[in-house]
Amino acid sequence: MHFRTLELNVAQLSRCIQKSRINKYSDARKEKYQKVLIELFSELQTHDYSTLTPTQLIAKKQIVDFVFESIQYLDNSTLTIIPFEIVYCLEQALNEWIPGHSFIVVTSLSNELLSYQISYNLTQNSALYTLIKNDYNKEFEHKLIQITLPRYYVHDYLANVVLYHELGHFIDRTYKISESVIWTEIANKTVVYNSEEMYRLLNHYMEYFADIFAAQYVGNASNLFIDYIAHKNPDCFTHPATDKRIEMVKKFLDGDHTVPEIKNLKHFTLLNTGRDLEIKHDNLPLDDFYNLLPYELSNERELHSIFLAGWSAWQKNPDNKLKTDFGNDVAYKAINNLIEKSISNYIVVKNWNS
Amino acid sequence: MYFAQNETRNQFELYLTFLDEIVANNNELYKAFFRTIVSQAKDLSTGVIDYSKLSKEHFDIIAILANNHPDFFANIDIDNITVENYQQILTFLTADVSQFAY
Amino acid sequence: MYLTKRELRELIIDTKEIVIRPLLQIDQIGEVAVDFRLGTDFLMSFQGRNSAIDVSNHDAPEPSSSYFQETRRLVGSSFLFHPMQTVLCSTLEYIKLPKNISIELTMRSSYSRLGLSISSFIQPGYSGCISMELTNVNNIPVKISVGARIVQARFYRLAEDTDYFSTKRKYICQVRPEVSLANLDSEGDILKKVKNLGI
Repeated sequence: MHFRTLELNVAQLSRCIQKSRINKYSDARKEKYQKVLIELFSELQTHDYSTLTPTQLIAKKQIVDFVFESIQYLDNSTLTIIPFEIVYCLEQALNEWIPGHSFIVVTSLSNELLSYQISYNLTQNSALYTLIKNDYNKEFEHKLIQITLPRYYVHDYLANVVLYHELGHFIDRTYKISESVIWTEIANKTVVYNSEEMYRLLNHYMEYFADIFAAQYVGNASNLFIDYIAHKNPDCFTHPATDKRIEMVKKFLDGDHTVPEIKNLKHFTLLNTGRDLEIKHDNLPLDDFYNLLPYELSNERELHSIFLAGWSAWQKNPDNKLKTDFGNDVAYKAINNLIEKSISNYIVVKNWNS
Repeated sequence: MYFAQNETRNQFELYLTFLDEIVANNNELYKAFFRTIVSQAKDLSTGVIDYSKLSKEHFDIIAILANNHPDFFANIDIDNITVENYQQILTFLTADVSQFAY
Repeated sequence: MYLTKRELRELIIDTKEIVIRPLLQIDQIGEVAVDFRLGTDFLMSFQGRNSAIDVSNHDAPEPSSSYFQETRRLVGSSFLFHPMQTVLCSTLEYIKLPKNISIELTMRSSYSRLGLSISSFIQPGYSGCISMELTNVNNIPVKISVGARIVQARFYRLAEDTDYFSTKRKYICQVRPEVSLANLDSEGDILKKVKNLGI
């Protein structure tokens, strides 16, 4: 890497910073984060890169990339149509698994139809924050997580259950659960380190964990959607076959934990996090949906349960009252609106009474 | 994916940078940073702890170093890690990173 | 006949024939009306490339939605109503009315004195947040807290039941303001035919 290319990158970043400098956030934590980011950038601007070794250049590039990515996350988060209902639900699950965390959740809307993602790059590289502290004496009190969902599905809570799966990946990476399973297999010599089989097994474990994590909260709702978008997909390097994933979730929900994958994941989840993978939802009665009413949710367990209830109201066959009375288009809109209103009422009532 | 994920690769690049700095300039801050890594690699190599007890921040590097170089870490003196030790760790890690399959 | 406090409390709290969710404070039920709050979602009009919002034309090139921009606020934050601006918003409360009770909605006087106006009628059997078209007829911007009680609803009991769903409804289970679907009115084709007859 030539130092002039890095200097070009810094000049490019300068333009981004100028545009983003005027952003105002209602969240004081984001304001503070942006302030430190701009201070860091000021230091980067004045640095002499011509004297750096190749290794040092690579390290500096990581800091520049960090600033770029942070700006991107913060810029997108000023969107005034953030679906705070789904974000709230995910944050409750996040608070449960990482209590007292220092993450700031921001959202981004994508124009791609199925782009559901939780980006946590900025949370995983602790060495980077040490480098920033060491070289520039800057510290970030919080780390950014970005939730991305398709613009067209902003108000689609049936599809948005997939985000629980994505949150599962984040929890897994944070606590190294699947990795603990694989390293134990390596230590037991059932898998060879650095082999294709090792990576494949790790990838599959990560998908199983994310599916089971989601199933705790939304039952089989996430799998209903995955079965549709990845129907009959076979085993591949990155994912187990869709049928296997569905079966794994079914076994978990039925309480059959004898399957090695579930057993291993439960074992290391408990060891690494102090928490168990277990059912964290109820089967809500569907009367409120059929009566076109939002639910009066009384606790977090019911909050997460609303998604499965929505899917149950949609999937019911035969005798689907909403479909019969109003047709599919209206039923789709009604269910999603009622899920959204149920969640937002829960938030409002909870905050009002606190 | 595992090592192919950018953040993991990025982190290992920085580990190498820090080790470079320790070897070249005896950087105390980075030595303090590496103490947990070396200490836990030793404990893992000698069976004092298992994977569930590893630092989640440095899990990857500890697991790889302990797995690939158990004898070195089992015998390292934690209270007196020399520059030569760090040089050796740097050599190990450079080789390990170059061999990442994915 | 207007419903009074005693009847309102009975229908809302005891028998739950009128559903209001959430009802954050019981004293929203007044002597002859119920106060409703400003909700979190807004549609603001803005001027586009075309000269008018054309709802006379089924086949208008630009749908009504293209003249409005969506925005959200958290409860407790504020929203600014510019002079002569019409903003579509909705109540924080989701309501469901029985088949024989309707609602007439007006501004609470504290807010009508600032220049905000509304007039709205909700049919019996309606289910959803109440859509509001608020216009600031003052020449000064007005800033209001989201969640503030800004409108009051008078409830009428009709002589007989009606069936809200006897005709096809464009707005069902609304939880945020939605743009006008006037151009989809069923008589659009008839009116077009009449025009073409040259009468």
